[in-house]
Amino acid sequence: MQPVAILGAAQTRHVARRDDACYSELAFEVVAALLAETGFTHPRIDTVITVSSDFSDGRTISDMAVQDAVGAAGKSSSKVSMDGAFALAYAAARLTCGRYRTCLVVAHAKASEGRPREISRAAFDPFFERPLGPTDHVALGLQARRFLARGTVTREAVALAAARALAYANGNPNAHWRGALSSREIQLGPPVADPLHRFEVAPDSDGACALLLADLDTARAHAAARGVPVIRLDAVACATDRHGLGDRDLGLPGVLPQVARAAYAQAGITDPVREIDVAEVYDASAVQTLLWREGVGLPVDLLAGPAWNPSGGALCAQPGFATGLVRVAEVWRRLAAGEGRTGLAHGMTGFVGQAHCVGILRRA
Amino acid sequence: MGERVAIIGAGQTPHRSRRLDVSAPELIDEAVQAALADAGLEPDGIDAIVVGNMEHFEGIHLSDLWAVEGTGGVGKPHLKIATGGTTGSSLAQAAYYLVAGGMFPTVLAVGWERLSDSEGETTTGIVTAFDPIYERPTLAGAVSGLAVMACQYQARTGVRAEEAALVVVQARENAARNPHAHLSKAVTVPEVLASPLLSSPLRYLDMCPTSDGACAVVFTSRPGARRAAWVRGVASRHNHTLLGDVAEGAHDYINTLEQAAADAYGQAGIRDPRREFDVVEMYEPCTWAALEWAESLGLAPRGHAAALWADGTARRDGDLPINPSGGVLCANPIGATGLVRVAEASAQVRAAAGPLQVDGVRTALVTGFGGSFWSEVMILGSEA
Amino acid sequence: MSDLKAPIAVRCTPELVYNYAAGRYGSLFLQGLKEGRILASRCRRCARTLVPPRLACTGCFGAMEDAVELEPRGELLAFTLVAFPFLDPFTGIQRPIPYCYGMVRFAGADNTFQYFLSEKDPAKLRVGQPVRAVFRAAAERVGEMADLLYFEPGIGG
Repeated sequence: MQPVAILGAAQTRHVARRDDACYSELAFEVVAALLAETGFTHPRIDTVITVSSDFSDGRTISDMAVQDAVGAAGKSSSKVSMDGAFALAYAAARLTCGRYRTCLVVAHAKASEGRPREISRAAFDPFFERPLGPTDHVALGLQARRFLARGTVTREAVALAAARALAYANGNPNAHWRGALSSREIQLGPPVADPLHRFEVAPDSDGACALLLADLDTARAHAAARGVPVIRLDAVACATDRHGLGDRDLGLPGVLPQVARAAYAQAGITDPVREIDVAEVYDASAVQTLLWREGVGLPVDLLAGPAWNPSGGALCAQPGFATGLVRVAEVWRRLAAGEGRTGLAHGMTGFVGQAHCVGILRRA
Repeated sequence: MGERVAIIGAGQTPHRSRRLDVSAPELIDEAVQAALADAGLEPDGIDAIVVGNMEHFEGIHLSDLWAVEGTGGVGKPHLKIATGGTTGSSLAQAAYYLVAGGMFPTVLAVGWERLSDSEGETTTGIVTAFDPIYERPTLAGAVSGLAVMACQYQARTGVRAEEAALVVVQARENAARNPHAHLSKAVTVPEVLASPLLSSPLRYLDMCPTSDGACAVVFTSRPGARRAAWVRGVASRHNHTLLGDVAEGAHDYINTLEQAAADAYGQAGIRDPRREFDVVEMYEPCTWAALEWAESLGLAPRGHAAALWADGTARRDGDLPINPSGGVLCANPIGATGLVRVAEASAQVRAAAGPLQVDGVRTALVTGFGGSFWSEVMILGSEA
Repeated sequence: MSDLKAPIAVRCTPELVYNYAAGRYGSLFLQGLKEGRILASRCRRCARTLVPPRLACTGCFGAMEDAVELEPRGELLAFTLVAFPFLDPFTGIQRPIPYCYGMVRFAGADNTFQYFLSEKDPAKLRVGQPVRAVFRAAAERVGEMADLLYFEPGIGG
């Protein structure tokens, strides 16, 4: 793909309940913050991509609820009904075809208004899987069993990944969960989905996230005027895996290695361990913290290579389809602050990685 | 600027009230195989897939992931687009942008719906699109939302119910030649006027049906020597969240269509739409909408679109054929409906429309409708 | 595969429960109904007045910061009589039919408000007719939409 740029990112604090805000108020909060941060005004937003889940919102055409709140009325807009990271591909295409100069991407989710476990049941095959009563957590437990059965990683290492995420989140003002727990304390905590315990499975959060993308000319002018660096989006790659839980080995990273290779090829990355400075992945469980690391071609040792989910990751805040967009926002924030030059952001749709997306960001 | 984009193939299932003989992935597969065959491609010729439906109607969450066996998407990039009635046209626009923006050379757009799976309660699902506090208590889905629009149109223009009824009479005549159509039985104006009242002034035969069906269309920047329908204009305009804000401008209910059309006409160099288009496939959810839409598209002066149907202009052998397929009034698998318009119009431009073919089509106009009266427009031409 | 002779459908009736936050502006409006008042938001930048009130101005995309009370009367701009049966997604049972609702422009508002009409015969309604809002008795109001009963034809109708 031709590179585009990300001019800014905004997110809400991610919390268990935001009773003070309906969907549209949550969306407006991040859009207003993003416009204030970037100095852009509403007329300079050329087109809008929103991201939301109709089931999660309890509302069909859930994008309609936020049309005014994201300033889409009178403009061209569309909705990607997947994890927000995937929307980058569409937003970038709207820019690279030359039709638009700026594209706003906004994702919102309020887990508190629905019942995430019950909603997740509706995502399983209605004939063969639903009769067994699975939820997203059950799928994560099955994946954990398969992953541990490979014997490459210990049970202890999974709990350590969760403990580490909580510790990282202490430095993230937007995180839903923070804390100082040992891996032993986590393994003694309440079980969520065998063999996973509390804090090894991502929370259900209310939150929103917005990014402003632009073509490179617009981005360069913006950067020069405001004395900020240009943060490019050099690659977006994604692919879909088989759907059924029994159709592939859940303990393996599936199509993610293929997606990562495609993203590295687009961005000209040959040695991800050395070239990537920061990575944020959508880890719905502490097993995924490790498994997706393998998927993007990094060593198992969490201390080798790039900073790995320094925000605490999805394990410390999971606002539905906004989760992957938050990964992009976190990588953007660190590159903009000078904490490295190249970053990887990962998003996922499907509880155990039925579809993966990888974006590569670079500070020019 | 971006890549030039062509449509080189399209496929549809027959649209029916109930397709109990196939599962959703099997239904999707029918349309995908037909589109691949029409385009002369093997599955590996597709670089990415955009897929959409409205998952509340089937009760399948993350339906794009479940559908992957039917779309042929395993191992490929896919994007799910879901925008209500516009879903099909939004899929076409997304496929266009992905190709035009150089992300992928060849993209397959796939839309589908199985409205029968919700046991006839389509309106219940549509009501949930609207604000739970302010709008759901009163709204009776798309039916009453369109009825309010028709009430305003009637009050503004004085057009009578028998004039609007001609739209469905002609649609059924056209659908009689279309093997994919759900409803193809002839109806008369007195039958329309005597059909049960749904939501005044809309009667049963004024309104589109609910169907099971799927549609797939191939977009590419590398058509080679294949017969191509080139995308010459793409535009959409969205609207306010609440219907009470949409209805603000009472003189012109759907100003989004006028705005989107003006944008697309500018791209394609269309100055006189009434003369320059050879065929129109519009998303007309009810008879009255066809009249309002035709005026917003500049095909007739404000308040005078009924004449297009009364004087034969809109007939398939008329001067400006509108919906030779029978349109949405004769088949409505919601997530596919807008894409069916693109499939039909591209077939007309490619001279591949079989029994529906209109002579000498070089330029075609396609519209999509959905949400809170938002609009999408695509213009197809035989020349790039 | 052999021809399908007896296709099978599997019935699924999940119960999905949602609790929608009315948010700051929705809560304000519902509290107003409890007090028998129609509250709108007004934009300081472009002076638009919108009912129900909301955060994002539909005119200039500014945050709407002022609440104003509107007179409980307006003009009927469109209406429909709903006569077909369907399941109400709020209750899971059929919504009582027939009923009539319309789009009303409150005096002083820039948009229209969609709500029930007392009159159930469309032949007795006309576009442009004045209407007024009728509330439940004060003691029965609880801060929900149903506190507003309907619009009825007003003087001069």
